[in-house]
Amino acid sequence: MKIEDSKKIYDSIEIPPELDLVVKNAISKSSRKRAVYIRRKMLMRKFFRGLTVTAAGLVVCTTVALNTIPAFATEMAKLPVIGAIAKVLTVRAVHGVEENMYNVDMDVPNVVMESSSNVANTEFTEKINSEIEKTVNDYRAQAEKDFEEYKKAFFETGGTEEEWNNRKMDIIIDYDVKSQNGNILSFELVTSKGWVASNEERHYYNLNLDTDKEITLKDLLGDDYINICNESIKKQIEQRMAEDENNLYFGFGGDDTMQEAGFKTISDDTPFYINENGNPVIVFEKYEIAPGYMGYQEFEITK
Amino acid sequence: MEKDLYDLTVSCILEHQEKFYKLAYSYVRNKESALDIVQNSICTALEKCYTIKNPQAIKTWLYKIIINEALQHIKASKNEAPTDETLPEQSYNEPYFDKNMEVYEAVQNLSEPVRTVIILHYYEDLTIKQIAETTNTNPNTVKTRLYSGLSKLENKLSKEAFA
Repeated sequence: MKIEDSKKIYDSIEIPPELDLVVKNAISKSSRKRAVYIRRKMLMRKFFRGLTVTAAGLVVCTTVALNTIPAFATEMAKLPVIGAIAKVLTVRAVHGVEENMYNVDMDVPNVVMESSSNVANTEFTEKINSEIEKTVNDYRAQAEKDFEEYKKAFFETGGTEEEWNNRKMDIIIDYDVKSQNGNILSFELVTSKGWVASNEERHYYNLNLDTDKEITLKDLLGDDYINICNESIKKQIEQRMAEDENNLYFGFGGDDTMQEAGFKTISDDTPFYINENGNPVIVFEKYEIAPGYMGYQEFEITK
Repeated sequence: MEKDLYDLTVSCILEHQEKFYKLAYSYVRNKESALDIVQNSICTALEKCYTIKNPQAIKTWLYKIIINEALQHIKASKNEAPTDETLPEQSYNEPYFDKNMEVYEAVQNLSEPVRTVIILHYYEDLTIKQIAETTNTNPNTVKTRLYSGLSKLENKLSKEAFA
């Protein structure tokens, strides 16, 4: 038996033409800037860990303080001031290793109303904030459950402690303010987990702080919003496919096999955020309307 | 001037992207999944490139990420039976192709972690030391797995020959 000969089969694995593009996209997505940012976060994490050793409990103290004294929070979290009406700021920051199993990197945001001298919350922002807390807590619980299961399976199938090598799961909670224009506030909450690569969920909040309502696509585009979005998205898909043959969308370009999975219509639940032009940007998850290597797909709908 | 870890990682990825794809493909045997694995692995690698302690070992470190990612992918979709969709058909004309295919299949059917060791050693030409780095084990464990894999393959293939 010559195992070396079967290498020919391995070597004959066909390299798809998309590989180049996939690699280049992945590299441009993970820019040096992002790597440096993550590096900085990790160093900060180490720094905090150092602090916990010398002044045990300090991290806990700051967390509690952030949660209980809003004025302290405003001072501590030097976050972008995005307007006079409200701020989105970190109310709970946890950076460090927990239970020797989780690399936790959480910046949990809350919406905080701001009047001239004080920080106060309305019923509406309280409701949004508790939704955020619930999303974060549920995500964290699910991540821990997944990792426990993975770890159990790892050892049951013959993995050793040495190979496990203290591997840890990353749990990352972060947010990004997309726009604020007067009373309109739009931001993204990102939850992600993984032990090598990450699996990511994005949640969007579009708030009208004057009427205390969440903004809908109908508010932005009028009664015909479904047709407006669908037509615009289909047009943009075709444009993108024409611009680059490597851009693929299920069910477009004569591909009947994936017809079922392809984009058909948006609904009231389709996620979107509002960009700085005040236009809605529809977001589709990875795999939702295109192969995974296309990543998240965003479509700006101009009014 | 010393090259930055980010640049080193990028050039290593560009240089070996086809190897990474093949390795990923050999686990999932499906083009889309293999591309996903390569993409996710690159993102992970670049995000963590500043944690690399030994710039000499970037390639084995990248292999490690690909393998972890591939195993994670398999776990997530374990109900779907893998099928090779793009192995070139013209190769069937080559003499001994069937025999080679049989060995290749037998390798694919080995259980983890033995299969990884065999693939890295025989298909990716990694040394025992490099495999140890890739799989977080010591060289003796790698040797044990290599021998155990070889004897399993011998058993299986000779049994089939007599069947």
